Amino acid sequence: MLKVENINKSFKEKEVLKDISFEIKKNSIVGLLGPNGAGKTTLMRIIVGFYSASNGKILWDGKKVDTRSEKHKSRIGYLPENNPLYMNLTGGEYLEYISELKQISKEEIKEEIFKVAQQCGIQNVLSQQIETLSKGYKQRVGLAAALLGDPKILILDEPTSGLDPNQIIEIRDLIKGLSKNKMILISTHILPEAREICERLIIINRGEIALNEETKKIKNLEKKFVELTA
Amino acid sequence: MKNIITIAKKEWRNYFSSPVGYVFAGLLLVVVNWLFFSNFFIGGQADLNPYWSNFSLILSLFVPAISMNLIAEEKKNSTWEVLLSLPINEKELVLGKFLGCALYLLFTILLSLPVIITVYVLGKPDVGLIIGGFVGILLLSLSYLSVGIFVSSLSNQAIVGFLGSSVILLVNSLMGQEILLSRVPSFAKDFIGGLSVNFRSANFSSGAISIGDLVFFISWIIIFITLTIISLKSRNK
Ligand SMILES: Nc1ncnc2c1ncn2[C@@H]1O[C@H](COP(=O)(O)OP(=O)(O)OP(=O)(O)O)[C@@H](O)[C@H]1O
Ligand SMILES: [Mg+2]
Repeated sequence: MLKVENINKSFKEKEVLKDISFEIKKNSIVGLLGPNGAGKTTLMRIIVGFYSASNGKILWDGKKVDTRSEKHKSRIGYLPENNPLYMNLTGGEYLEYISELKQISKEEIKEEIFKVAQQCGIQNVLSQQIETLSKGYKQRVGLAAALLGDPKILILDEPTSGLDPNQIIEIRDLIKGLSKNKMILISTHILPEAREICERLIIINRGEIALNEETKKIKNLEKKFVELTA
Repeated sequence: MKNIITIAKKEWRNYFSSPVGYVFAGLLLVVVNWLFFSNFFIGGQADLNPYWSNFSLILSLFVPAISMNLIAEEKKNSTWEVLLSLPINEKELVLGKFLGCALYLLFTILLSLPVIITVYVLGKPDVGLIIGGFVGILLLSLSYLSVGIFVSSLSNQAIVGFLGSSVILLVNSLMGQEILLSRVPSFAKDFIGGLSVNFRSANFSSGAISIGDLVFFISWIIIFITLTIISLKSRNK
């Protein structure tokens, strides 16, 4: 179980996150909602160790973790906002590079790439240069990279942003299917999407948690969202 | 160690995956040799000193050009966010990039070997001097590279990396030139000259290889690599 405890984050004088606490249980998907600039990306960056918190801690199975340690990072698959990729590589080369850095052994790399490529439906484009892929396929490559090495925690920052409705549904179904044996934290601006795939929803407003509730207990999400973040 | 090699390999391949890497290497070779031979036939002497000093001057533009993107581009495209979420640390990232670029640099410098051999055949200069000059230029280029990677880590703009490190390197090489040194009081002369990478490297090509110079180069490289690592680590301030 991943636990976030009293996380605060300031950049210089600016307080971006205030006392954020929540947890993600095994086999569950938690949705992170909130207006632009609420602090979703910053929170995710803290969990993956890209930023360090000004205060507070991250716990794994009850023990405090150093988010910059290799041990913590190897539990995590991260798809950052805007899906950064090396445009001059092919999908296959990219996945190979990430596999190597994830310390997947040489013998297993091929098999592992085959597995995630199949999951994400990109087997046929692995030899294509990433730059030439459509946005939806780029997104799949990014997601496939996050899945390499079968990480226990997936942190996905707006994985469906900018995709067409069909792609959104496909990626959404894919993510839903991943939740077995994993904990997933996903941020999105699409409320129906959050409603459909997440067991629990957290709304952040101006760096503070405004709501943390089981999805099925929330009656009218749209209305609630507007109320809490207006 | 494995991570360092993985990153170095990618960096190395980067230079050869587009024509840019070849064009740069070719350009360096042509310019350096043209400058050398235009002197060589005038002087009529098989003296390699002008060759090395031209070489180091050109490297102070060449190294910034090949290193300006090392980290700036990762920042600009946010790919460093992916990298640093993987089980690798800033030190491995910086050392891997440094190593990959250093190997490319070594490759371009080795391309100058035929020239040296020609000079050797024609003029029979001292072998010790050739080796000294060669080691000097290698150490100089690695020192330049450590500055290049550091400046590249300071922004996400390649052009800032290029201008920043070429200015630093040109000023530093000026610090080792007689033009400047003849104008400073004598007590400061050794100190200022001693801080110049060029000045130290010239000692090598004139055959005076000293532990002091070696220590200087190694400390220089370690300092700038450490600064780069610190710059990457302080990303969230
Ligand atoms: N490195 C930084 N330095 C200074 N301020 C920052 C930095 N990163 C984020 N911020 C600020 O923190 C706040 C939260 O930003 P963040 O990107 O986390 O929001 P978000 O919820 O992901 O927004 P969006 O929905 O637009 O992606 C913003 O006001 C932003 O300007
Ligand atoms: Mg965001």
